[in-house]
Amino acid sequence: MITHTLNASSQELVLTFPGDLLSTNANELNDEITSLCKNGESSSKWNTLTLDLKNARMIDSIGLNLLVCLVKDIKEKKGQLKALITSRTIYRTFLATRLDRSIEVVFNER
Amino acid sequence: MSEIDTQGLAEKPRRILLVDNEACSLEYLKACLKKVDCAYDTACNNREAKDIISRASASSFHCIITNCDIAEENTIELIEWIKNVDETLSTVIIADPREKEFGTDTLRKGASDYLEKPVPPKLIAEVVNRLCNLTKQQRSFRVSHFAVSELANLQSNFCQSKKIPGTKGLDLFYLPKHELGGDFLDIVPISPTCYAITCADVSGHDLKAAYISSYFQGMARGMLQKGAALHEVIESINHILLKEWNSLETSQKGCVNFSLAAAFTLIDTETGSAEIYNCGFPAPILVDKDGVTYFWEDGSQPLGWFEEGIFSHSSYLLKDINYIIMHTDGHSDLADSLDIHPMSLAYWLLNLETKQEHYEITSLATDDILLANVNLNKNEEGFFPIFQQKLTQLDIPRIDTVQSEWERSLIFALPQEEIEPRMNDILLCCREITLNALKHGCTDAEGSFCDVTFSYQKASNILSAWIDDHGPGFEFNKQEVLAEMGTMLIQKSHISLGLITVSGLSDDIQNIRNGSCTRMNFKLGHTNL
Repeated sequence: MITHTLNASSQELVLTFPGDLLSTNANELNDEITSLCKNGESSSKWNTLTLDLKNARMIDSIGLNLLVCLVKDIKEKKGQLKALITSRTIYRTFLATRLDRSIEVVFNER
Repeated sequence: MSEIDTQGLAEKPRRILLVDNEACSLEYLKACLKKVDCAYDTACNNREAKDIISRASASSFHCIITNCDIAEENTIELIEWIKNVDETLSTVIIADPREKEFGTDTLRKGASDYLEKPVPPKLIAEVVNRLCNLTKQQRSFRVSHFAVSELANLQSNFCQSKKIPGTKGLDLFYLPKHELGGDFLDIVPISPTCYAITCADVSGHDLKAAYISSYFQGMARGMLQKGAALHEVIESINHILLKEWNSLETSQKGCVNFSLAAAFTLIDTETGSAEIYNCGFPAPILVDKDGVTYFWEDGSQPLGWFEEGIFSHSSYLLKDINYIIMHTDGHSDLADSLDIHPMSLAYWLLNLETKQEHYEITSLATDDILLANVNLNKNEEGFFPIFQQKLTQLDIPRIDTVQSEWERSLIFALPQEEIEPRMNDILLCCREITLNALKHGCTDAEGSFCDVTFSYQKASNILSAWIDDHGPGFEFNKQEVLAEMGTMLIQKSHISLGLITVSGLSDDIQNIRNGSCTRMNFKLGHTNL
């Protein structure tokens, strides 16, 4: 389950993912993200969305699709999207797919 | 046998050593022993006791009785010394009832019994009789155990010393459940270029199984060396098991039936062919140069079960085969209990430096294990299979579980410092390609499946992943995908995203048969960012 924290002063919503972002949990995670970003009480109070992926080892193509949709949504909202990563595999996936050009990536290997 | 002193086993008068630092209590003990049929020596302190034992040899005594004031003599030190000299020699301590803690300590350190004063003569006699018998029994066990160990070494050496000229060699792992086992492997030269390999598993894993194993191993070897054909050897063994060992008469007497599961393989290095008679033995595994496995499934039932029949055999051309792996079912059972793939266990076992290594894992085996890898390739080291499975579309929802199975087997087989840096790359790439294969290459028709194989080449430190859906394939151009990697991906489908990810994370990707089979290589040890 995704947990979230809203920093009102910096208008930043942080979504912390419990683990990998994969074909088997992408739909469920997408519903949670939608609920937290669009429908939740904090939906209008943030400008930067930070995806805390420090618990994730990998993201597969279905998971990447979810991120691509998020990129589109945030662009429409004229907001910022940031990802916190510790997995080298995820970082390389972002580089290979050029997703790092659409998401600000903070990579700190464990 | 020379290393074990068997003097204590001979029927001779029992000999006791009394250690007592008080003259009057020593006299009392001597008087007690007159009612026991035994000879005795006396010592008035530990030093004298050690001298007597050393001079006469510990095995000439049957029991030591110590009754020393603990303030003056260190009885525990004496017990430890005796146990070190001869662990079968029984000792009894006599002490004051106020020294209960001391009594408990002596038992913990190896004393056989502890008596509280005053000790009536009858009790002394009873204890001496009991402990002398215990010493004899322990010495008898020690001699038997030593003999079994010697046989075990012999059996192990027989197995380990096999060579196959004309091939790169034989890697073997042999681990009987107990000292001796019923599994065996033998290699008999038939001609300068032809060898017969007998790999067998006798039911049971005890001394009886070891005896049967030796009997038929010798019989097969003798017949083959005298020019008998494989089918003649098999028919003879089956005949003996049925007509002599498992005859109705012996069965009625309550004898357990005997059976032998065996694979008899004839390898001709000149023609590059192999012929096998498999009688109830696990299917030998043929491995090609890429580490892809084929199971040599043909065969008949174990020997000793049924009347003589026709024992089926099959032949195989070994042109593209690097390894023939044969294993007894003890190997598969251990892999099951470890929840890893048998080939992962096979690689690990065959690459152990010593059998003592990771004893906590091999000690989980519930049966004898015999694992042999005939290395047919004289030159380059081939890829060795680590994992192989067949998946169908029904496995799509359980892809996370499948991924865990891959991970467990890879971690088990390969050195942690090599596999760990690439594990996530490997899992993600294989997950992507496998899901694609199951969704787009396979159908829901029965018999439509996807093969997933991991193989490893130690020399290059490369892990290969093969995913083969046996379907029509799809148009996939690696150059196009690589070109796409230079563009923004917002519009790309998830298949493209998957392929781009895989191309980025693997070190090499090859598409075979129009993409129905994908091979990815991963150089282990480190990841470049």
